[in-house]
Amino acid sequence: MIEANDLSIGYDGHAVQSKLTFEVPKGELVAILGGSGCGKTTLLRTLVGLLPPVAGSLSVAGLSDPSDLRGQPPFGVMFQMGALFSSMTLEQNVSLPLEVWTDLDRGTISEIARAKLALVGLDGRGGMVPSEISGGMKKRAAIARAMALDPSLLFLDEPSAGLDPSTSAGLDELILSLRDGLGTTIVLVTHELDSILHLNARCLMLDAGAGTLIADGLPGELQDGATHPAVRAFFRREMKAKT
Amino acid sequence: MEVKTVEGAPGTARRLVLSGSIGLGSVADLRERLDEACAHGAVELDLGDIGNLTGGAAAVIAPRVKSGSVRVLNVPDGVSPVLGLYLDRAAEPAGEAPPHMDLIPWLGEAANDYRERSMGMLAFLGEFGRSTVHAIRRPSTVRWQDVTSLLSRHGSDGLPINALIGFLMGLITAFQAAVQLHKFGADIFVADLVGLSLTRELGPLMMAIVLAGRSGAAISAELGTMKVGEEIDALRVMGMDPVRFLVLPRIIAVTFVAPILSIMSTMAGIFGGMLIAESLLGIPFSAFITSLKSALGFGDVFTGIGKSLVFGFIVAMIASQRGLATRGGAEGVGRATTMAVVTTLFVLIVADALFAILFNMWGI
Repeated sequence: MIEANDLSIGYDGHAVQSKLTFEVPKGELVAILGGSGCGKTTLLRTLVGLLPPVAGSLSVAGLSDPSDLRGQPPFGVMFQMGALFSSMTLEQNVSLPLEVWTDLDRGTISEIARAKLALVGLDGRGGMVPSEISGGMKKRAAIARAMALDPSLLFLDEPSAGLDPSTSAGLDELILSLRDGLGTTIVLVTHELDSILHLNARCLMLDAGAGTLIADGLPGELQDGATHPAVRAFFRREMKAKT
Repeated sequence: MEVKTVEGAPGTARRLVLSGSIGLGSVADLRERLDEACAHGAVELDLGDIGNLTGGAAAVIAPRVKSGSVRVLNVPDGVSPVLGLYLDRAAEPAGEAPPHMDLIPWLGEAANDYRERSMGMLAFLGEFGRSTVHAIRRPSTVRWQDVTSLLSRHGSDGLPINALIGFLMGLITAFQAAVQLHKFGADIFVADLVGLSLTRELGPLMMAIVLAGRSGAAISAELGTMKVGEEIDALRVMGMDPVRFLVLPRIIAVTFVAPILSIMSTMAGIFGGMLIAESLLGIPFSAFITSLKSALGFGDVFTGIGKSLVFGFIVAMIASQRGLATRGGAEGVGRATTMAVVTTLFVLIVADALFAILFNMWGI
């Protein structure tokens, strides 16, 4: 579903991470981890085509250059703050991609949008506008919007950030059910250790100091067997040693 | 997607047999066939021959299964998790559409909204009065460094557009007057008409309209964005009064640049009038200025400047109040900005009319 070879990512031609080589097969749940400012969100923005790669090759859901996207996107994206359109109701937010990319009639679109909202636990809230709902509900609605076109690949930026543990756990359950129920490939950016352990997602760990991937594996393996000090520090909640 | 309908014996369920892949593009057709079949009674949906079922299709099937009108049969293993997920979390059927808005409730809501906005403005005036008193007692609490940059942003940066509009107003007024006055041989009175109308009325009013569109909208949008971004709340929790911290510098700046902009706009207008008088009527600049001097008194200049001060205050006050009253997100900021400009224009015209009555009563 995703293939990166010697990928360098960054802004205005300046790489913040380089030599990134990894593959994400269909149906896998992958977490991009790392400390603040290591380039997690930059990698996500590159994968969804908002930033062009600085160097190397990248293929996302069959697109060799996601930044040159023309036509219906083959993936859905949930932004960190939801990025819901404030002038629209939740149902209108979810309906929008269906209105743009399908020829479905209004009634069918409305029914699908309500089903998507129900899927993320927002049944009956379709008439509300984003300013009337909580942060966790905004993230759920944003996931519903990202899933509107039934994409086989979903990108989630910090789904648990800023949420209480109970809401965060609910969101993790939702992510697992989407992966298991719909077979959706999910790539999420996070630094919430509890969430990573609960999801048991394959972890791709970036490090600002190393400027590249420093770990690739399941959280259990990394927690027990990681040799890189930054990986050990992350999984054991230790202070990072000064380099 | 292909759909085959198998009619059952009388009293038994009608069976729909689906085959092929059911993508998003087939969902509307599937929904129509299901509703059509359901209109005749219970329906059995045979999914045994389908290759793929997308979330959109499951979204349409699940609520009908949950309501009992459809029963699914022969669900393939590959499809079961998708359908199961949507069945577990199926949406409740949509309720009835809300009734159309009646006139009486609409009037009631509009009146209530107007009352709330009026109360909001009164409360804001009170807060502003308190902050002003505090600022007069302790002038060092006002952010004067903001005032200087705001004077530049709302004053000197707006000078070219104000002068251009004033110039064009003078040009138009002189042109219209020249044609009419020439018929009566009263060409020289063009100077009086242009001078008086621009100094007393058009100069201050046009300046205020431009100020409302340019500075008022900017203030309202800026404060509105700060409000929805919780920056105003951040000021409050840090013990800072947003009115003293943000509003007072803006009101001081806009109120005091308004007369300067009005004077510049009026001067540009008079210059435009002089050009028309000279080119159309052959009135030399010196004759125009002599006539202008005799027509314009100190009272006329004073009324123009006085009105500009008040107009500037009105623009800044309404823009700030609407900005701080912003609710919601980006749409709320847009609504607050529109409301600020529209309300300001209305209040400016009303204030101008009041000035006309007062000046007439006072004989100015």
